[in-house]
Amino acid sequence: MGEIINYWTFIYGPLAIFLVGVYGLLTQKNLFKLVISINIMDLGVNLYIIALGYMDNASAPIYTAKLAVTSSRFVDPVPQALVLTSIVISVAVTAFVLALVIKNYEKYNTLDLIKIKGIEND
Amino acid sequence: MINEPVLLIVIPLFAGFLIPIIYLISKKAIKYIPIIAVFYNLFVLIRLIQINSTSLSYFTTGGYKVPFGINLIFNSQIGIILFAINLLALIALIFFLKKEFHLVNSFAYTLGFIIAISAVNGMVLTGDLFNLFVFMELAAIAGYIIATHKRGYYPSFLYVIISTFGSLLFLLGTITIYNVSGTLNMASVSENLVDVSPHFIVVLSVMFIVALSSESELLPLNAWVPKVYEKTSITGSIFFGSVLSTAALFAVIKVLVLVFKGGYEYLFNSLTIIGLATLLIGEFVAFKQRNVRKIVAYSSIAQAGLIISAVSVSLKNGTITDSIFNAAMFQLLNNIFAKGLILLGVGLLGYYSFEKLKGIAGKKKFASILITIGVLSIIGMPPFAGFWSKFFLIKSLIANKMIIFVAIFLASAIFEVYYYLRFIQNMYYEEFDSKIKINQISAVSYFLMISLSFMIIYIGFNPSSVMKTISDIFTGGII
Repeated sequence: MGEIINYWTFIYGPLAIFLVGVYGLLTQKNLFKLVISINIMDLGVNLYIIALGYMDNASAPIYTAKLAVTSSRFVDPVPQALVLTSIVISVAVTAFVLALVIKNYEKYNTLDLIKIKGIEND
Repeated sequence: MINEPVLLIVIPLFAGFLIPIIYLISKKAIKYIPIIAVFYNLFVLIRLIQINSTSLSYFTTGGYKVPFGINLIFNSQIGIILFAINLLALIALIFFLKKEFHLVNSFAYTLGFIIAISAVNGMVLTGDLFNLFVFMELAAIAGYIIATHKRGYYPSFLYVIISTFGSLLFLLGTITIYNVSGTLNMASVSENLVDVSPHFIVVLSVMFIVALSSESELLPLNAWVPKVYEKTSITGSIFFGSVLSTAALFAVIKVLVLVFKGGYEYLFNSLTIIGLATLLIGEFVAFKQRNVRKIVAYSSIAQAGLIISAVSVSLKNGTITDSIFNAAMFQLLNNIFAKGLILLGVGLLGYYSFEKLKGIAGKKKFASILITIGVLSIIGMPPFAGFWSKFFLIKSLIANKMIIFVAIFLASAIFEVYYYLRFIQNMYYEEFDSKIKINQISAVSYFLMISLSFMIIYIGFNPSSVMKTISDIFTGGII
């Protein structure tokens, strides 16, 4: 039972969060809400990466003399390195998109996607 | 030290870091940094092409052996394609510094362009899936900045949303591949995917196709392309049309060849269908446009579809059908020059709508002739470069009995010829509206256009020898 709960929380949970973000992307009309949807998707993917690197009863992947004696297991360090990069990228993209949202607001005086589209096509 | 391909990525990045520092000292001096960096890149590339053979070799970084650590893939054919991409980047940069440097915030856009060059070189060179994600994201961020060059904030926002969705899917796919294969190295992944259940591969490959479609202008994630092409500056349009899209297409082809080479027939069949659908829809929508930039954008989408479908047909049997694959890569190379020439030329005329371009050839004879060379190359007229790549492609497809493919290809070509010739006819044979102000074209701009058309004519007269220099990119001995 515990095994199943683990699997559900660690693998399907993040994927569900990702899908929540996709739902937001498809339904929302406000530029700012679209940015938040992107962020929710980011969160889902990052959690998923970390979940795939997880192992029960394992320690952090830092090699010390003490660890060599007890010979316990490491969690996989590669997903952790990847998730750091991915977080940094998503922070950069979010900062840029928020600046872009401000610029859009200055130019069109609205954050509604449909209205901006209307102004663009005129 | 000069023999390392990693320099092609590091030098522009370093130049990018230098720009803010130099900006503090002198605001005008930042002009020259990108030019020096790209010239140095071209110099390194010439040297690399000379000393590397046609077989693939890995260049490790940080002393880790393959498949650990990040590695770069290089051979002389990849060098030629990179050379063409960097040459176009140089031409776009020279034009930018001459004409558009003072347009808006010069500092930010100089930085954007130089980072884009670094990321593009990385996308073409890297042999590591996660590394490809990082470079794609870097290129995309530079692309978002470039897209706002003429206050096109809304197209840029669309581009961000679509492309971020694509790159997150790519990240999901990459990490799942790492989970099942235990490595991120493209060549080792394909060896470790053999035991994985085919259903799982279907899910993975769908994820990758959708993820990579946003950057490489394929269906379903290419809605941003015409909007961004329409609203960006001339330099920006050349960057999107010839530099970023080519590198993204090359990266897609690299992933297909190195990761999914194990004969996943359904994957390549569905990719062929996606490619042909992109080709037909692109040509059909371009057919209805009356704005030259939109025409080039949709035709660029169509060309991406054509190249991807040809590549996936050539990969279907588990091995690479060399003749089709080489012709597709030749087409990729020709498109770089032809699209760059048209976008530059039309940008220099200053107008994009058919109404304003009426009869402009009478006033700007030489520029119109140069644009016509680019158009004739794209639609595949002899003796220009585009004719030979399409000719080789059709010849090899018929030799491999892909008659339906050839039929669709030729049907789409009719549309393409029609709408491009309508553009030409509009330029040459309509009455010129005397109220329209004619832009002056400087000698430097003419020089850039002449050098691009020279490349097209040169390839047109030496098609076999040029094609030989880029053939068998991935089959020349994989380690």
